[in-house]
Parts: sequence; structure tokens; C-alpha cells
Amino acid sequence: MWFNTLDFAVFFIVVWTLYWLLPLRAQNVMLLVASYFFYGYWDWRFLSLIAISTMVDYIAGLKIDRAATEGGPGSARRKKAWLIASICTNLGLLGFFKYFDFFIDSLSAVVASFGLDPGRLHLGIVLPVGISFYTFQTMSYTIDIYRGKMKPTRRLLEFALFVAFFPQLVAGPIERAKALLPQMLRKRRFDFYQFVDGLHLIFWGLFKKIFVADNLAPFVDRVFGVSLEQFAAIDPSGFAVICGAYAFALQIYCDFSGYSDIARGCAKCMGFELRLNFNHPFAAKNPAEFWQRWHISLSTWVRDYLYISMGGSRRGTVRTYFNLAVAMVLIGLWHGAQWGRVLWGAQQAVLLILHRMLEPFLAKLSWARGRLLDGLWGLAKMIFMFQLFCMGLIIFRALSVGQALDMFWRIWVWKGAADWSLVLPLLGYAGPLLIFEVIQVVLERDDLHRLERVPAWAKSAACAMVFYLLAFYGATAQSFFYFQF
Amino acid sequence: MRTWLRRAGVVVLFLLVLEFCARLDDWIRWGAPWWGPYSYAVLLVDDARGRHGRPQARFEKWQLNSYGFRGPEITMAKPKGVVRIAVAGASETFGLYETPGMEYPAQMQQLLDAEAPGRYQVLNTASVGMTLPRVIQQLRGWTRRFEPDVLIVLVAPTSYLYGTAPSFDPPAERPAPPLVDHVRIYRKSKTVLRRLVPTWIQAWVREGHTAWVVRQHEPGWVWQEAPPERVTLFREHLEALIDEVRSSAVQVVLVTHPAYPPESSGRYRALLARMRDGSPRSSEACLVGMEAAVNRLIQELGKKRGIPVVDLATILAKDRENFADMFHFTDQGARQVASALVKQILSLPAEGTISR
Repeated sequence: MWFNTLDFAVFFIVVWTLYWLLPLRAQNVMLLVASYFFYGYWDWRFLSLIAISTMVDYIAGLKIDRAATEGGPGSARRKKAWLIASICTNLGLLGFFKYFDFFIDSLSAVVASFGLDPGRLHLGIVLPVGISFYTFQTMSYTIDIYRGKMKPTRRLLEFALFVAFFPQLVAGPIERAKALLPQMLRKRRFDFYQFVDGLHLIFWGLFKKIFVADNLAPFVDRVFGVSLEQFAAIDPSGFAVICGAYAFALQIYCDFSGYSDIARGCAKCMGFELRLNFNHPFAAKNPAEFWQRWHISLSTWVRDYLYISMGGSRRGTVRTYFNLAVAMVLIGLWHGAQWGRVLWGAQQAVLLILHRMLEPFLAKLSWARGRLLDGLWGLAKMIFMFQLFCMGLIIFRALSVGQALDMFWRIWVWKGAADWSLVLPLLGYAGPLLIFEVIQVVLERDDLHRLERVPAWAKSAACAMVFYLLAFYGATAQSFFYFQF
Repeated sequence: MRTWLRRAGVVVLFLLVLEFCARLDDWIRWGAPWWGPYSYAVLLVDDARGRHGRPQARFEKWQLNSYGFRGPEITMAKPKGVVRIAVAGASETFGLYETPGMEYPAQMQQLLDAEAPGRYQVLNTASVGMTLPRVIQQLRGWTRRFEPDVLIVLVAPTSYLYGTAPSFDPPAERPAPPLVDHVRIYRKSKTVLRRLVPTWIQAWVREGHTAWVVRQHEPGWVWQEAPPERVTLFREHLEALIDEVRSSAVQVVLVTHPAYPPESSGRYRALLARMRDGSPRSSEACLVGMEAAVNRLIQELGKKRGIPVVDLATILAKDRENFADMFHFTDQGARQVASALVKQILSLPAEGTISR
């Protein structure tokens, strides 16, 4: 049930209406049933995985806390054992469903050397929607309890709801239990302004998804192709590859941030606050800042539970670079069981490491004086960072490593002529988005709804224009890009 | 009170801006006028020739040339050495769902140009709702001036199932456009709603309306099979067309009418409901029966009078790739139709012309 379908609209209206008619406990029961229905709408069989993850982490959380509370000999070992059980269960589910076939295919030569047939070991496993998100979310719960940062909840219903909460279940934001669980436990009151904010977010998210992302998707497919044979037939010029990379950057940003906005909007309409997941990432001036603005919930998760656990930046320069590399490669792998994604993660790691190495020298380069030159220098850095991001996206989106290299080669040798007609659809679909994004960045507002000083008539006119584009130029419903993560 | 007035003002402004966007959109994309109604009706004109395409008219993707035909500009005088093929019919021929330039007469032109560049010229003389009597009248009063060598006729049998059967009488005066025709956003919204609302709901609403219309009439009002008097009328009109064309020594090619076949899918149900809503007197069996009866008639008359018949009803594969709805073609379907007709054209003997 995609957010951009009539089915979801009907589902949400029914759920929202029932929600505000019920008292707290019944609200949570209804939300849990609705969330399971929402997830089961794709494939009811995978509800069992959510149930497993929920039960294991619920019990593990209680046991870890009990061991910590009781103390005594062996408590540390018991704590660790339950933590390992939680992590192994979640990563085991994730590893099996997402990566088993990938590793079998990648290690086929090794597998064959043992006299085994890799083809027979390839299971053709279906990837459950959202598994990369909810497993990370539940692991953060047990890890935070282990670290003493929070106490476990004994309320299984609310915990199950925390795991399966439908607005953010299948594509984030990856929430922390400390932030979301208390909201599940306390009474929610209807707040008209919060509800309107939620509607604004849903509206803006739908615009980004339906008008920008879904309209750019065919354009991207026409450059990258949907198969290597098709790519060979398309034979794009270097200019077309660049346009395709820009289009894909906008597509993936609008697709993912659009989903996050809709998720946050739906949650707001029910009195919940989900974290901001994208904070104008194209305004980033360097790789480190980029990862503070892009997929914030994932990058902070990896920082808090992997990078810092490995020592972060506390164990010397070389170890810091190593930790960064591991973290980013795993982020790449999280994005898909493909070597292209791993390489993309590696590219991001290289950028981050280079930035760290060069930062002291870059700071000394601050020759810009005055607000205008400072602004221009900042703009130049943003544009440069965007180019670096797009280069990485060529690796991310390419159907194979070979295709990615081919596309870089086409840019390098500037194969073919520049076809400026390709720029028109790009500007046409991305133009309105860029205008709003620039306004928000310049005004330093987080969300569109905070433009309080704009008169109501101007907001009404702007909404009408955006609504028109959404209703009459929105592409037909396509799935969200991150659903298969 | 002031708060409510302010809120109402915001809502009104919202709607006005939507309407402005719709008009701006139409102006940029189609060169539509800013004021006045803008609908399909702008493509038609009623005059001494009857109802036909308005010269130089444009509505969205549909653009008519100086002679009211869909297609490129032509001269009335036939260029020397060119074989002119006039294609007559209703919306299937005029082209509804196809990308501009992909309606089957245009694709015929492309195929014939590939075969023999500059040798053939295809004129799309069709307009939406054109019946056999209108084809005959247009032929007499207009099409013959273009000296076609060949006339291809594809007429929908369903026009014989409406309340008023096709006739040679002048068309009824078109009522003034309703007020909603002046509201561009209303028309555009209907298109979006059709896309969003599930087809089963659309079918259910239309079926309900059809059932209500049927209830206003006496039992037995609904035709359960092809009404014999309408089939006979079709035969008479077809014979009249053949006589008219024969008298002018132009070669005529008849075409059987292809249709999306009955099936149990939701999509078919929605299409059928839409069809029946326009012709509530016709049951599904009647619609299917009329198609079969008319196609049999075309084959029979063609054989009897020595006229080539292209059996599109058999040739065109009946799947969703060829049909956008029950009768109208997709780009691919139009291609198949064009190919079949071009094959027939190329096998025809030496051309003749209509004398003025």
C-alpha cells in the first residue's frame, strides 16, 4: 500500500477518524492492528518476521535490564548474551533475507571450489519490505538499554506499536525508542495546528514524490536503461549521462524525502512527532555536512551504534579513517545487496576521509571577505558537493560496475553532442521544488509550514499552484525507491 | 465573522488560482483562448454541409487543417501523380487516445511514404460521432472536391443503438454549452478523477445510472439482441454509401468494426458500463450482437457487390495493447489497423477519381 495511492488515502482517513474517537489504550490497539494490516497488505507472510523481531527485542530488553538491576557475578555476561541474542536475531533476519543470495552469487567461485553448485544454493529469496528499517529500529532499543540510556518498557502493546508503527515502518525515519516510545505511552490530544502542519507535510511529500520523483523516473531510465542491453542501445552521450545523474539525484531525494515527509505528516495528524530525516542535503558544503543532512536517521544510527562503538575518532587518525570506511561501506551495503552499492559506500568513505584530511587546509583558504563573496564561496562549495554526490549516484544507480565505469568514461571523453533539450524536462519538474528549497534554505526554516510570516493569501495561491502541478502533472503511482530496502 | 470571511476568501482565492493555472496551462500547451468555453465542441461546426470539422480548429492535442480534417495541410487540388485515400469514420478513425500523429490514418501515411514516398496522400475526413448518413452527405458536399481515388469506411455500429437512429436529417441544433464548460478546472478534474477512482466504483456508479434510466421505461424496453430494424437501417445506409461511391468511380474499401471482446475482468465491466450509460437501451448481448450482425453485413455486401473488405474484426488481436477502451485504439492498435489497410491499398487495381 504505497502512500501515493487511493488505497492508502482511504486507509488513512478511516484510521485517523477511528483514532480520534477512541481512548488511549484503544487507540494503540487500533493503531497496531492498522499497522499490521498496512504491512500485511503487501505480503501477510512477512508479518511473522516483525513479530519475531518484536518478541525477541521485547524480552531481550527486559532481561538486559534485569541483569543490570540484579547485578552480581555473571550479570555483565548475561547482559551481553541477551544483547547478542537481539543483534544476532535482527541481523540474522536481515542477513538471510537481504544478503544470502548476494553472498552466494558473489562467492560462487569459492562455493564451487568446495564441490557445491552455487545455482542450487541460490534461494531466490523475496526481500520483505522495510526489513532494513525495523530491524535497525528494534536493535537501537536493546542497545540503548544495554548502555543504560533508557529503561525497557513492560507494555508489550506499545512496544509492538513502536516496532510496527505504519507511517515509518517500511521506509523510515528510523526512530529511537527514547523518542517514540514515550509518545506511544502518553495521551495524545488533538491539536489543530499540529494537524494542519501534518497536512502540509503530507501535501509537500506527495508533491515531491508524484510530481518530481515519479516524472523524473522515466527520464532516468532513458539514460541508465533498465537492462544492460537497453543501455547499449541507448548509447547516451556524456551530456546525457550528466543530466541523468542530476535527474537521479533529484529523483532519489524527492522519492525518499517525500516519503519521510508523508510519514511525518501522517504521524503528526495523529499527534506523534517523528524526527526530521532530510534537512536540505543539497545545501551541504562538504561530505560531513552532507551526511548530517541526508537520511539523518540512518547516518546517526550508524554513528551512534557502529562508528562510536568501534572507537569513533578517539583512537587516532588511522583508526578513525578505518572506522569511517567501515561505517560508510556498511551504509552502502545497507542500501542494497549489490557491489555497486558497496562501491558507492566506499566512494562516500573516501570523500569523508579526504575532507577530514584536507579540512585544516581548506579552513585556511577562507579568502572570501564580505557577505556577498562569502555567499558565492558557499554556493560554489554547495555546487561542488552536489557534483561529488551525483558522481557517487552514477555508481549507485548503474546496473553494474562496468556500466558505471562506462558512464564515467563517456563524461571523461565527452562522448557525443550536448542535447540541451534534455535540460528542459529536468528544469520543468525540478524547478518548482528548487524554488521552494532555496526559499527554505535562505530563510533557514526546517519545514515549509514554518513560513508564518507569509500572508495567508500568498500561501493559498502557492498551495493552489503546487496542487495543480501535483494533480495534473503528477505521474502515475510508482513504488517508493527505498521500499525494497 | 471576519475570521470566517477571511477563510472563505482564502478558499475562493485557492479556486481562482487553480482556474488561472488551468487556463494558463491550456494557453501554453495548446494555444487555447483565455476566455470562453474550451471543449471538444470547438472542433465542430454546423453549416450547409452538415456537422463537420471546423477549419483550423484546435482543442488540446487535436488539430484540424484548413479543410477541417485532422492532419497536415493539403491542397484541394490533387497533386499530379498522387493517389488520394480518404478515410471516413467516427472517433476510431479521428483518433481519441493515440499520441498525435499516431491515429491510424496518419500511420497509414507513414507506412505508404515508406513504401513509395510522395505517391500516396491519406486524408482523415472522420469526426467524432460521424454516422453513415453523415459520411454520405460529406462525400457529396465536400470530400469529392478533393478527388479521392480510394475511400475507406470504418463506421461504428453502436451509433445505431442510440435513442435516435442515424438519418439524413440535419443534425439537431447543439445546445449552448453548459456553464461548467466555462470552468476549465472542472473538465480537467474529471480526467484526474477517472484516473484515481477505481474502475469498479466508476462501473458501479454508471450501472446505477443506467438501471435508473431503464426503470423510467416500460418492461421490455431494453434490447436483448441486435434490433432487427436498426440492422436493416444500417444495411440501407451502407447500400446507399456504396451506390454513392460507385456512381463516382472511386474505389471503396469497407472495414469490419473491431471491438474489445467480452471478458470477466473489472476493466471490461467498467468499459461496458460506460458504453451502456451512453446507450442504456442496449444490453451487453445487444451490443455484442450488433457488432456481429453489422460485421456480417459488411462482409456479405462486400462479397455481393465486389467490394474489398478488410476484416479488422478478425485481424486485430483483441488485447489491451491494441485497445484503449472497447472500440478505440492505442498507438500500437492503430499501427496494426494501418498495416492491414495499407496492405489492402497496395493490392488495389489502378485508381479512378471522382468527377466533379
